[in-house]
Amino acid sequence: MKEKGVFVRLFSYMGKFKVTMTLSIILAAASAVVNLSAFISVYNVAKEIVRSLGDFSRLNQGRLIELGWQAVFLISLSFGLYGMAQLFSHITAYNTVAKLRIKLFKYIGALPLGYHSINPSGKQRKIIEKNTDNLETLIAHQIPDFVQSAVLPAAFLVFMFVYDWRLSLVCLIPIVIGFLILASMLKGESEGFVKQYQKSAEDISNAATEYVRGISVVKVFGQTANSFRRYKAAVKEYSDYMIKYALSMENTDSAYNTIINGIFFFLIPSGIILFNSGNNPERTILSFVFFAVLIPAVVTILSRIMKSSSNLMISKASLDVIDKILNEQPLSKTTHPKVPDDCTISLERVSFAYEADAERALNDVSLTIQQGTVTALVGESGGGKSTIASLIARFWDVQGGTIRIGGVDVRDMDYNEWMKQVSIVFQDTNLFKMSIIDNVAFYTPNASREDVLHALHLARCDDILEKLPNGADTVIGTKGIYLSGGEMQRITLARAILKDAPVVLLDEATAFADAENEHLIQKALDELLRGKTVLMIAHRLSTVIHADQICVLERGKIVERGTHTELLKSDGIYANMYEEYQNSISWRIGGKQYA
Amino acid sequence: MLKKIYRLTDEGNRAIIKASLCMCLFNLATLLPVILFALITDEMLNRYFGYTAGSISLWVYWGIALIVLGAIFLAYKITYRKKYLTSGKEDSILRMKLADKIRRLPLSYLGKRNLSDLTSVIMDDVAVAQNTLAIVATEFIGGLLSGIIALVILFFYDWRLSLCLAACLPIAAAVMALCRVISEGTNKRNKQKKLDISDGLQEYLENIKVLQTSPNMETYQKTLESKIKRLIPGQILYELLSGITISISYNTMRLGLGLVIIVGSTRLISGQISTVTFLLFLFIAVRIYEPLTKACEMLGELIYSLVSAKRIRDLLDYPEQTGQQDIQLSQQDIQLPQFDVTFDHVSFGYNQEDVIHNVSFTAKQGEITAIVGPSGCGKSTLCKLAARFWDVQRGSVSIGGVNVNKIDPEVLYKNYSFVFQDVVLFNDTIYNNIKIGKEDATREEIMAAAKLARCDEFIERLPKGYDTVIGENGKTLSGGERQRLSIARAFLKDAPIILLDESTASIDPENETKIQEAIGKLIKNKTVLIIAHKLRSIVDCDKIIVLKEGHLLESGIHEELMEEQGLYHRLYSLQNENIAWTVNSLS
Repeated sequence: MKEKGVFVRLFSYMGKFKVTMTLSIILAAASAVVNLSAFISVYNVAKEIVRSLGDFSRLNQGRLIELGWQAVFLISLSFGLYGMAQLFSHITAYNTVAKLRIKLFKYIGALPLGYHSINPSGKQRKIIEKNTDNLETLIAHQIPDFVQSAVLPAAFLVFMFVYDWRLSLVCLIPIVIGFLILASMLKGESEGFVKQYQKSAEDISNAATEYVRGISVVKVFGQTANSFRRYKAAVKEYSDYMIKYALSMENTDSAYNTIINGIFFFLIPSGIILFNSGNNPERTILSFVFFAVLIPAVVTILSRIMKSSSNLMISKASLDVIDKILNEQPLSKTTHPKVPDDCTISLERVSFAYEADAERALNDVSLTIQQGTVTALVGESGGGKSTIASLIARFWDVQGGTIRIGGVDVRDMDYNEWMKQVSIVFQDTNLFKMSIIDNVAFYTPNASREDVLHALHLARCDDILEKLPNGADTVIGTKGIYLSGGEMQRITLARAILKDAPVVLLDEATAFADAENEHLIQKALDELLRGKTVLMIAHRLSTVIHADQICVLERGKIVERGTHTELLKSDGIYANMYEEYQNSISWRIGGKQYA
Repeated sequence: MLKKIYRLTDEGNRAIIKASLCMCLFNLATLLPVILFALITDEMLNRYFGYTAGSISLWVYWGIALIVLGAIFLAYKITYRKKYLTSGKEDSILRMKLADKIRRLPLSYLGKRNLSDLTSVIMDDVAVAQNTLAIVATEFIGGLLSGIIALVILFFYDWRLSLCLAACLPIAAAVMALCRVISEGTNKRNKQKKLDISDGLQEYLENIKVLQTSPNMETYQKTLESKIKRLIPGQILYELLSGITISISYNTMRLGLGLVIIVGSTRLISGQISTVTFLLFLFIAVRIYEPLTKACEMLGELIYSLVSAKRIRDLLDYPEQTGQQDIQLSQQDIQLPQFDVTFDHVSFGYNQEDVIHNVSFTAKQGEITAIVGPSGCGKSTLCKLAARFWDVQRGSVSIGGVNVNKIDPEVLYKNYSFVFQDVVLFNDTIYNNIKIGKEDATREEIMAAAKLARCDEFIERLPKGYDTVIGENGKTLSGGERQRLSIARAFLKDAPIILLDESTASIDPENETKIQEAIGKLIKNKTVLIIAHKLRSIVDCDKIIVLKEGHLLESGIHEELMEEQGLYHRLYSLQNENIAWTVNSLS
């Protein structure tokens, strides 16, 4: 039943290529039939000879040659049909996989940004590429092979009536036994095996990644591959498991191959007994020869599906992962979007947890950011600073309370419209493999070249443009083009300056750029933040002392709020943090402090 | 051959050859029933035409059939057992061998190479190679061998008909070879297109935040969509080319069947061969191509696996860094008189172009030497040369007067601790993660190190304390906590030379003072080389080296450098200006 599930699901992804798939199935079936009939020609040769035995002068050589070529032709035709079936199944497979990939990346692209924060891009890319690849093999090879093997029993039922029902039945016995063995193998292989295999494969892959990533530590601390227990254990377990699994199939697999190659063992005694019984000996001889000739075709077809069975399970697992993604909840969309009057952001008793049973990242938080003011969030990591920014940008939607923009619930606003109002300047500064101009104009494709250059100028990128061979038209990521982190940051700031959105969500960089870059970045930030409604996740307290409002977060709650002066006066957590900060900036390596 | 290509052990090599021979026996055994069929048919015909009397002996033939059946079963079973056991064993041996080799590679090599690419050698390439050994190699060798053996035996029986059987094989092989040549170009182009898709998807997913909030999403998606669609025609063309040629080649092979019928019937009529011979060849002709076809199918996969095998070989054969004979690994404790690190006219480049130019200085034991300069000036390169991550091209780096190139890296590293930003933690307990610093450390020592590194406070808050498992690369910990764990390791190791990146202190701005305190304790009385960013933090250092574009520009103590009014002075002043910056200062 499970297999059927896989095929039904696959078919639903094929779209109009169901037609080519059907064509492929028909051709595969036809190929199996033609293949069998080729052997009938060979049989006819044998028949002619047996019939004219004793007096070969009666033998019609022309007829024999004709039959011989007929057999060759039919075999060619069968291969041709099989090739066509494969061609159509490949056309289906390639197109289905492409469709599925497109569907997947579009679907993933529309998922809330929170989903992307949790799932690394590399992992997602692998699912889009590798998991669909597995389906490609299934569609391209396994479906036609399954069809062919399904034709066999049907053909034998026909032979039962046309030739000799007794010998036909005898030959059918091993075929049926073969199918039964195959079915039992599939059952044994299902769920349990695939799960264990995947776990074992995942373990070894994780251990290998960890080992390679940690190789500098391994080297520097004089570890060896052997002393690296987790890797060694995973490698051993994986290989033990593969061996154990392989050996567990040893007898069934051997039995299957013996039985499909062993039809002769059933045919020989039955043929002899029938002949010895003396009933219609000529017919018995001819039937015996018929099946003797036919058996190889049966073996060919049956041994093909052997490989397919384990692939089927892998494909199912791949399909499960794909379906799981396609069941992810996209961001809810409103049908009647409302437009806010201004950009005042207010959080009203907002609660949020990243996972259903996890501790709340935000707990009943209320906060108002007046239009045109700067609010800074400070506090220990994990306190909820970035969660607030993420919720305002709708990476996720709140679970309790509301976030309003100019009085309108963000969920009632058009997402794209809201995103036009917000610039998100976070620490990850990825640029596209495009020219700097196109990168900067990414949010504002209609901006004139002058506007873009002006934004670059405001973001203090002039030195970058000067050193690059093609100035602002230099394509990022081409060979020999190297930009430092600070330089990339300035280009992304130019992008935000050009976008000129009224709201800026800023995550201050923790990484330290060199003095010159730092200086330029600060100038660029001045340009960007001027007159905007700003929410800033601050790491260095010195940068926020002029903020209109500073909120101290601790374990998902705002525990203090006010201006720098107010907070210092109240002598609470902030005052403490500030003192600590003052200490940290006066730190001198090897200085007297800790000597 | 196999041993060389796939780096098998001797035992594995023998086992695979045995498995292939068994596979060959299996194939030959499946041909035997054909002879039985021919003999039985002959007996039936003799009785039918009255040449012989009596009934055919059921027991003799069934008995022989049973033996053949048993032989088929056994040959298959032995092949199966041998190939899977071997590939399983070789799999783990090879993976351990690779891991050990990677450990011995110079860190420079590891720096140059994409780490996920290295992992994929251990994972994917080994998997492909082992699968090839288990299934492909045995079937290929077994199939080819059995086909040839059967033909040779038949040749002695009746060479003319055997020749008919084999006549078209060379043509089929030629077509097959041609197919590879023709389709290779398409194959390469497809690989490039696949890479394009990969890159496109990666860029798309990495920049999804930007894309989702930009009006360009649809245009971007369209380019990606067309990249994915562009692959289809190439794939179909490849399938068409390779599919058609393979089909032609299989058909050519089977023309032999027609020839056997034509030549056989002529010779039968003229009485040159017996009926049983003709029937035998007829039965064989429908059967013999099967193992050969299979061998052909395997050929493609075999060739495909060579790429993986080569990647494995390349890694295993990459030259290791070594030391001089007298300071080899065997001598666990080389006694260095002291631990000054001296750069003597060092020039170095990753490629043709030098990034370090003729740099000389000494970092004295018990002193702190800071390296400063704009980003890209060669600070971290210099630091890494001090630990022989690379071998310098001109000049020399020495510790305690001994050239580092003469010391086996494994011995050399005993003298260093590194505190860099990229902390590597393992998915293990906190306890074991610290213990890496010193394998035979006692629990007391480990806890003392943790305390010195200011780790004890956060460790105590964890549910299982020191025995808490911290997840992949310590993902359950904050940046600062991870950094402090790495410092705890360094405490435990207590190496005489410490290479330090000052910015590690600000990895967790909210906990900066704790890390600073830990570092302060760690570096006491050691040879310390610091890559510094915040110039205010190094004003007390014993020596400051100012680099620009790989040249040593200035050196001295803070006061001297300030007086010089050079690069150091400029950077220092600029940073003081930066520190005063605030948001909202203009309003």
